[in-house]
Amino acid sequence: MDTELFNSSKDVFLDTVNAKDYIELDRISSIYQSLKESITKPLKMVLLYGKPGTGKSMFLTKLYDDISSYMPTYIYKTPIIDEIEFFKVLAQDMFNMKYDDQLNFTQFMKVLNSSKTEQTPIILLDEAQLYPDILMEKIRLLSDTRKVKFVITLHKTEKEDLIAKEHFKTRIWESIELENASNFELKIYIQKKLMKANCFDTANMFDEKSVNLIHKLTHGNYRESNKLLYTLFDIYESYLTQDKHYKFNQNKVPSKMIEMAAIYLGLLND
Amino acid sequence: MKILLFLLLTSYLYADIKQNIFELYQEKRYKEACIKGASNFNSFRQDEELISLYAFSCLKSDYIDKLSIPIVILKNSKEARSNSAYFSIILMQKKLLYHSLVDGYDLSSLKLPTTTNIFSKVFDLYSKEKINKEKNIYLFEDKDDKNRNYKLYLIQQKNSYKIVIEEFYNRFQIKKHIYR
Amino acid sequence: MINTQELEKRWFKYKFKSYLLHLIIFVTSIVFILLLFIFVGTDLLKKPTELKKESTNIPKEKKIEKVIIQKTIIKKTPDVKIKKLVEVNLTSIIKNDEKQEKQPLIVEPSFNFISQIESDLAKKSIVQNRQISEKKDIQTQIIEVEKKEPKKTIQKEIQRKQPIQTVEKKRKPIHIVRQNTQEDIKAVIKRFEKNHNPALSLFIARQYYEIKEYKKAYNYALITNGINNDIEESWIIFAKSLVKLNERTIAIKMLKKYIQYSNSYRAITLLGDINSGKFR
Repeated sequence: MDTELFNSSKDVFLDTVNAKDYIELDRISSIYQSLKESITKPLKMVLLYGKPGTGKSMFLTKLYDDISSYMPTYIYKTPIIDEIEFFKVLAQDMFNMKYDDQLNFTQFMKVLNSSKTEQTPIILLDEAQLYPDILMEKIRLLSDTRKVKFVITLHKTEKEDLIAKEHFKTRIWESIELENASNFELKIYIQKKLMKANCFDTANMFDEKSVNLIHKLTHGNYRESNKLLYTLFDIYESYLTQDKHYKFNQNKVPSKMIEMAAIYLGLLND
Repeated sequence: MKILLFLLLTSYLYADIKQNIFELYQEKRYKEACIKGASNFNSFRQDEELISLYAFSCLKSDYIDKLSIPIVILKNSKEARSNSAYFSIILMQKKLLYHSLVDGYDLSSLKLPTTTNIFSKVFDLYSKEKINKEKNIYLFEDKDDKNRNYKLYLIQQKNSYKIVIEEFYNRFQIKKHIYR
Repeated sequence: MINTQELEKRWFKYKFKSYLLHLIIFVTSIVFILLLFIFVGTDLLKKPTELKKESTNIPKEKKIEKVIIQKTIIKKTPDVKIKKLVEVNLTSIIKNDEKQEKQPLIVEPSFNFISQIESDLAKKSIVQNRQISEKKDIQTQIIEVEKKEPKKTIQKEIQRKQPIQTVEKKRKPIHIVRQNTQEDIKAVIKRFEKNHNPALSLFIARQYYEIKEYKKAYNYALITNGINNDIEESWIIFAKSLVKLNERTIAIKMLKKYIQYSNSYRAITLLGDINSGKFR
């Protein structure tokens, strides 16, 4: 093993949201499949919620990647908080209409009603908890026209629970919760991720004991796990660069290494 | 002369039985000593020591019912009376235990004298327990010796039951008593 | 690049803290369990004594009540009989209470009779052997006498034939010689060597004494005493043999010791005879 291997393994766990990096896990893939199917149904809105780092953005990105080829889909990863700007961007993307002036809600509604499209466009909104309440109400009204579908993601906080319940109760066709990974799922996630990048040697280093420790420290959160594993491989790389003949166990990641990474990240208090 | 010879013969025979039973007892052939004593007791009724000897042989070979005759005969010396009481307690306990195991008679309220014999020990442990008609096998721990355990149950032989007590030391069976 | 040395130091610090924490938890839990044990243990000890006290208090109160009631009865009707009844009741109450407090009677077996049987059997075997030997003696005597008789008759006939000239010849005293004795003894010695029965060694000692082999008699009497020192005859032969071997003082000494613990009449008379010179 050499530093290059650790370097590439490290890069696997960079905290990016890329549809190609999507890892299929059985439970989640079934959820995804049902979501994909429900898009075709005459639904108004899908709510995707869960703790931060549970893969909502990844989900949305993957969905966009899959369906954008055969359905008019528009994804907005960062929320457009300004209302007028929001409708302007929407109009431009959906109807290819450019507005120099302001475009308010009623105007957009008119445009929307007059539009004739074969397929209902789908709008994917990430981090919808950042949208102001008024805008959320207007989004609700837009979905009522049945001329546009929305898939929104929310962090599961108290406030968002309220929104989920009050405003969208009748309108939400499906609400999907994404959870942290279980021990088993986390192990598959780590190994599949590494194997996808051809890092077979490092993939074999993760046994149940080490994965259990990682799970204990990150609670199965994907983002936290990514960060931890990134740091872990960074530590390995640092050892090797400082001492070329540094000896380590090629079959197992020792708990010491994982704990050191956790201390570095502040997951453990020293 | 003939009378003398006859007397010699009978005394010789009696001495022979006594010698025989004593030898059997010393060789730990208790069952044989018991049976010999029980079948010939009339010839040595007056000899309380020999009666006691064959009675202990019967007890050691688990023939408790055969203690009934020695219990009645032994009465002339202090030791004989004491041993008679000892045997009678064991016999009584056997009868009570049999009645309880077969008919569900509750012994917990009784306050009875007891002996140092293992049958009495198991009887005492059993009588403290409440009657459970569904229970067929009883397991007891010896409070004086944690390594010892006892198992109590009935076996059916022909038309009657027999009480069986198994002794265990460190979970190994060391002795099995089938009481008659 | 991460500073691995510093990170390792931090890790060691973390590990030490975690072990310390575990140790503290372990120690506190043990202390807690001990304290709990002490408190619960003392509570449990107190409870039965308290219960006992309670239980004894109740009957006492009842007793007192009974006594008071009975005393009042006495006061009302001063009658001696009632007083006696009261006393009887009180004593019966006390006795009953005592009985209740007593533990169940445990009867133990007694095996003293076995030693008695052993000695009985030993005595009987001696008696039997004596009887057998006596029988044999009688038989040999009878045989000897029968053998001698035809000779006598022949002698008598000869005498009759020669009445004048013959002088009455003195009848030879019938001399019974036990020609079989030595062989008997040897056979018994063989048997004795097998089973070490004291009855047999006593028999041997007696035989040797009778044929005046006092040393051998003394030896076998000694052996018999060694196996069972309760056999009176063995002591007698022992003492007698010693006297015959001119060891009078030793004989007296041994005999006195035997008399001390057995009070044997025969031994006492023998001692008297030895002292007076009647037996030499």
